[in-house]
Amino acid sequence: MGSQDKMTATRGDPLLEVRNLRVSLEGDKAVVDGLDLTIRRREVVALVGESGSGKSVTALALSRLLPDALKITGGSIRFEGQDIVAKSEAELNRMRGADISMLFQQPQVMLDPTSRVHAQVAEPLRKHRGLQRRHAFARVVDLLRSVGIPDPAERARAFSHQLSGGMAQRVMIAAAMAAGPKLLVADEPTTALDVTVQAQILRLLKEERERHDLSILLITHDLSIVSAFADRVAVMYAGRILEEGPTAQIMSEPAHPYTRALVRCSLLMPGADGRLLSIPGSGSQALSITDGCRFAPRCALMQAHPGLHAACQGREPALDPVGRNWKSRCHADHHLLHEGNVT
Amino acid sequence: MMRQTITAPVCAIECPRRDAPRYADLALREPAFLSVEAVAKHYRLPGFTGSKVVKSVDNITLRVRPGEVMGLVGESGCGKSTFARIVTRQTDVTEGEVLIDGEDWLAPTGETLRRRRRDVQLIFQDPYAALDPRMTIGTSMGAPMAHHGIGAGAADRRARVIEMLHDVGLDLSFFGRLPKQCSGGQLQRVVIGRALLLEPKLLICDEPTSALDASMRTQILNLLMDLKARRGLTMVMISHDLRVVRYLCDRIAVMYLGKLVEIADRDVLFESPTHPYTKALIAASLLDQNGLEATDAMLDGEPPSPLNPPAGCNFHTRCPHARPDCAEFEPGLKQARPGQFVRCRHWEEIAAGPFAAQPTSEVAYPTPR
Repeated sequence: MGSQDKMTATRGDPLLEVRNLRVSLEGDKAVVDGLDLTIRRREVVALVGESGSGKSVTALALSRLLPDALKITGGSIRFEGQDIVAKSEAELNRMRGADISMLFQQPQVMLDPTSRVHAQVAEPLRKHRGLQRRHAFARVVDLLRSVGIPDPAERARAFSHQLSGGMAQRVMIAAAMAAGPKLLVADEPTTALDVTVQAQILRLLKEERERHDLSILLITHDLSIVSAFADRVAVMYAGRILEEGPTAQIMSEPAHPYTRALVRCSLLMPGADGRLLSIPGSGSQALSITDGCRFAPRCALMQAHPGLHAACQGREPALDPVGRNWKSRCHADHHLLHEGNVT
Repeated sequence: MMRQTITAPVCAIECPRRDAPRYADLALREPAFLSVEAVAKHYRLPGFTGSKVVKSVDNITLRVRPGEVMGLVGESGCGKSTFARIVTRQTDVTEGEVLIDGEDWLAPTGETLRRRRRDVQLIFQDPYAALDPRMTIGTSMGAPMAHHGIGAGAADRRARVIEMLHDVGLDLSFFGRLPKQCSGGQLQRVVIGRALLLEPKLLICDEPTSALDASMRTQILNLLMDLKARRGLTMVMISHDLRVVRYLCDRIAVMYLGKLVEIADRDVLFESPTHPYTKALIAASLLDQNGLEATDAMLDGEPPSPLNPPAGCNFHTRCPHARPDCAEFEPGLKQARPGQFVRCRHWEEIAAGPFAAQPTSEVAYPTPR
């Protein structure tokens, strides 16, 4: 993607604005805590983090599809100015699929095994656009063709078990795009696919974005697809965003020590001694940290600078600007922030 | 146990199949620790209209040197896990032979096989599934040793388990823990430790890090790298993740629909991939370095069904360089460069064309020994 694309994308007006979102388990244990996220029109934003960081919960919260055990306990989700948190179930159903669509990891699990492909792709057309069954079928064939499915008329009559993983994900994309949504929330859309098929699906999503002025929120743990695909990246850890900014900067000169470690871990970049960096400890306890930075117990930067201990363990840093459109949640001074990038 | 050096038995001329020269991937008289010779595994699927045959592994010849880490990569369904099942004797071969340290590994059966199973250990993808949720880590690690009669009594085995826990980077407190009290990365260490307690000659790792988060994955890869250096373990590393094999392996074999399409030393493979499939696989795996555009026009479609593989070169249906003759003749493995073998009729022309190899990264990887 050229830099021109990124410029126009960032210039778009906000489509989705999440402010201070809090999602809690029963007993008020927050799994997403004070999350801010903005997605502009035609923008691809990647939400990255390790398992348990709250990224999938965030994805579900955006369409209010959370399981019963999880509740939104604070904040707002504004989509084109309207607060999704305040909407009734009927209003939500009018919005789901028509304004915000979702794409999940295992396409073959998400498809209904007892109904044919065309019926499932047609559902949003009939629900949201009021098309009759016969007219919907023709439209479905067009949609299947547009997502690169060969013999679309024949495949439309297939059942999900007759499709390969890549084909099933194409069908899911056709269904997600059927009613012309403005935002596509894709939760690990290529994780279950082979790498060559993954590249095909990512190319297809990029085409859909060009064709329909679509915004995409890509949820993933795989940083290698992020740099090839996203305009902006938000890094999540223990229910919070630790860093957010343009993809190129985040991948090449991350400001937050966690992002830096995550990039090096994910891309398996060995250090000078030939060893891979690993982040000591595990993040599973980080949700219960109330004072100080949630990453502090595992932070190499803090350990290397004893002067930081009091601040990092005393109060949580705010998500402050460190550059243009670029924010990081870290107490360390700016010259320290980039220290690890040089070595 | 002493490892004897074996002389490779006779050469290519005696090979029954022209397209599969024996030991194509190694110099003729180089010692091999694991020799997989023209091995095939065909599954028969009964069906309404007559049974079909799936050639899950088809005529694979691969030799692994002592102390070498061999990577085996390919997409799902290419037969790499069947390969692991053959080498660990979980399934029989349809044809071919497997030698470990010069001995016929397919011959032992029954009690003899049971006793020798400790020689080849397998590490699975999902450590949660590999451990009994109701057994403590210590019991889980000690049980296979007791089964094979290793160690002088329970106290000795306990001591060995504790020493191994330390070796794989866990402390004593894990001995009494249950799997649910550990993270995925810790459990994968336990599984690796349990396999090593049997002092295997060969370790087969089937996607050992794909179920783990990024930070856990690097811990396990560092551990495997240490074990390789400390113990001189011979390993076969099966993975769909080219980054993992790039970090860990000395040589890499690429599989497509049951066949080996390219074998090369690690750096040769990444610097000058020669088979069109290898090129596409590398471009698609290292998206952060090459961008999505690099995969444009590289591979369309998906791997064909192994039930009905294409005639000729089985890759020709997806190959951006396919010519008419590719559908007719099956290519054999040919040497492209020193240490690099490729199954493609047109690799020389392709190498000169627009998809010519580009350096994939500036990162220095550890030197294979």
